[in-house]
Amino acid sequence: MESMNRLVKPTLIAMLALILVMPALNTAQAQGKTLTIGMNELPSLLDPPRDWAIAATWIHMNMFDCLVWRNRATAEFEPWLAESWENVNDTTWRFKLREGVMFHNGEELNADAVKYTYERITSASRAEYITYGQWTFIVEINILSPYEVELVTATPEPAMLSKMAGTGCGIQAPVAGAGMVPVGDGDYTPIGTGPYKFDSMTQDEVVVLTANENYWQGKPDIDTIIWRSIPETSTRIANLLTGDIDLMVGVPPQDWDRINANDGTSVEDFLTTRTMLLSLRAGPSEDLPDWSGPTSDIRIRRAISLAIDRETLIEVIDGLGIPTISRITPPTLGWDERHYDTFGEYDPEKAMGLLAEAGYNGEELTFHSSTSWLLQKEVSEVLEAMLEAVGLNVDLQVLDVTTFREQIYRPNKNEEIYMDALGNSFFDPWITVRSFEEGRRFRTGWEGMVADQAHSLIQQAAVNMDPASRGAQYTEVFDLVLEEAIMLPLYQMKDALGRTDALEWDMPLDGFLWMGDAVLNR
Amino acid sequence: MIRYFLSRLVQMIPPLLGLTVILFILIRVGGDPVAHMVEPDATDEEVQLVREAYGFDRPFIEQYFTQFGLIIRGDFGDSLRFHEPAMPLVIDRLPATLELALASIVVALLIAIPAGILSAVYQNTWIDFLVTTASTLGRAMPNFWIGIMLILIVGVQLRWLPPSGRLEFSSIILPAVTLGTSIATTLARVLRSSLLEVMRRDYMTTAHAKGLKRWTVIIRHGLRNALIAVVTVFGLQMAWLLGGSVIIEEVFAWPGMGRLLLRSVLLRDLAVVQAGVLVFALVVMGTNLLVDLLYAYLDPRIRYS
Repeated sequence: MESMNRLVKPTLIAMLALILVMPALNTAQAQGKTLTIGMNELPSLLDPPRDWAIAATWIHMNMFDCLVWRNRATAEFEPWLAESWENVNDTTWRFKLREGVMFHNGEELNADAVKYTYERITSASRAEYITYGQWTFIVEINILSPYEVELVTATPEPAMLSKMAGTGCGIQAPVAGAGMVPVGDGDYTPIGTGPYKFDSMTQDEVVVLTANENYWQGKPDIDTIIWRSIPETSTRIANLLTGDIDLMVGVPPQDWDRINANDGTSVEDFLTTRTMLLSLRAGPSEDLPDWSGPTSDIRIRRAISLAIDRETLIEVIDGLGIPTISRITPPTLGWDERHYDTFGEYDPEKAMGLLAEAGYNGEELTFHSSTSWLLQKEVSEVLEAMLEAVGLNVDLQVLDVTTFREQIYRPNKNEEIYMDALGNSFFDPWITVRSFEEGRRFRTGWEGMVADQAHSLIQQAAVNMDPASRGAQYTEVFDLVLEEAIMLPLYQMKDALGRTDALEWDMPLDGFLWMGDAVLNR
Repeated sequence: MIRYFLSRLVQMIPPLLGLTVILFILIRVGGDPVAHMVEPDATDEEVQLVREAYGFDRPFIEQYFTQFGLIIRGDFGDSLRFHEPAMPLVIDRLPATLELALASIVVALLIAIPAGILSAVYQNTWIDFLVTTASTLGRAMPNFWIGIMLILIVGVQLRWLPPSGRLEFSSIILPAVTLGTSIATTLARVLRSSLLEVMRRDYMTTAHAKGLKRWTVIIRHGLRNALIAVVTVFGLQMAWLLGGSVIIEEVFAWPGMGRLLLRSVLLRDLAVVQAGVLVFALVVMGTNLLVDLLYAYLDPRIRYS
């Protein structure tokens, strides 16, 4: 008994000591002007080509610079680490690098760095780098001089500059990188030339970046950026209201007034590159070979299109969207004013006529949706009501994000209708039409002359170096898609940013949190 | 005692092995990790390449035994998400979860013991009514809701405590109170009924007859005997506490094992889920063993052989 007594008391004391000491050990030490950003998740990996989640891209782009930059207000290409470039011929690009740019570890930016950055991806595999497929167009990298590099593509690559400014494009320090063996595992340390240097990371908790004193554009105003993971939206808002965080994205409309009424915080909405859409199955595909649902009849697909009242949908989402009938939205090449900021044709009478003409007899249409995006469930329910109002028998299945992705989307088991939101941060149309290429129509089963015509246009556009005619080709693809009612874009989504009023910073067109030019007045 | 202790340790092995089978079936057979590892428009061939690279194309039984072989050697494999060994990831988060669990226990005991004693001693008075009603209400309210309410009132309105995170000492108070109050409601009720029963025993009457003060009798003779039932329930509550921490860590952005497990389940990161759940199971089993050993401390008549 005495021995038990001797054990119990020290154990209780140790328990209390642990409780008291542990949080103190974890206190982040921030120096100078500190901006804290509340995130719903943090990246799993800090290596740009290995993690392309939005959260990862935001943090990567503050540590790494790319050769080309997209102007934050106009999305025009601008020199960045490359001070100029030249398209020598259809498949050869020469980039002249900016001299005197230093990596965070003191290495100098040169052609070796560019070669190292892209070869480590193209010489690896899709399993190692999620962005692998995005870079396979580069077949040769030639160093012409210490500050001049030549990239050779297999075929003409009109989206070259978009890709060089897109996800995973950050130039890496070659000497440090070679020392991280094997590169990309848990020992990876991000070393770029960006405005902020990597300081520390506690997985799923916090990423700390500090200002790059030697940044080639000048030291940023903010000394430390703390990216804090706060997955629950209401908790993130509470932290914004109390000043524990300074910035967050994804403020639901019901919280706007509370944040605006709070001293020192405000909300502003911004346009994302993401379009909410319906995709309709037109025929069977390899993963659903026996499918023969009602939407295989083009008249029923058109009836669905005519039954959608986008004006009401915009009201449902509290105005947080711009109605569109195309996934190509401005300023992306190929956007068309006929397709954008329009409610499209809404004619329930005509829809009912088409259903009668098709001999529709109440067969069930399965409509898969998810809770991935703001108010998606509510919009799905309103859409179900709109379709049922013209006489369609709709079975709406709203799934959680993981189930939707694993059971429906990835295995291509979607039936008549599914709803999703797709983005285009590249501001290039190639990604918006990819699912209409032959071999990638596994979720629509779209076949026939019009589908072949769309495929042919996509193939031509993919190697068309003339922007004007290339844009027209993509516009035409969407005309065909609309004619066949294969994809029904609904609205370009808006999001809302909650922020401290002490922050001088404008949300860019791509919605990415690059904080190199942010000023914090405190 | 040592023999008993060792035999209990050996008895833990079969349920842990069974757990690996159940987890494998739930995570791997129930979902597809590759769905989270490829671009949306990847072709079947491109998806297959990733599937092959990670061995997900092999029969499930082969995948299980490959994984099991690693576990036997103490290697749970690499996390698909972090590309790092799974067990160290889990171990890294364990202190935060244990810290929250311990703080919750302290909160629970600080509330439950006085409330249970007062409720029993002043049976059928307004104090008893208050404790019983509060216990019922506390049990009925989901703890994530209590958590959100505490954030709004204590964190945002009163600004007394940070609403989330683990950046300073005071950060632990709100999540610990949220988890602790839920356990306290059960413990208080158990202590009340147990103490009422003990207070009717002859030895309590004898203690009073000897002239001992009322509260000395209750605390020294009554409480100690009543605590056996509380300790039993407390052991059972440990599993609930760790389970509850998954949600509470998410609400309060507390970077513990619960959050890691939740995200790993959603992304089908089997290695991390297996490592995490096995650690949870060990903590629960270890607590139950500790509870059994505590019986002997609380009641000298109990002996293990």
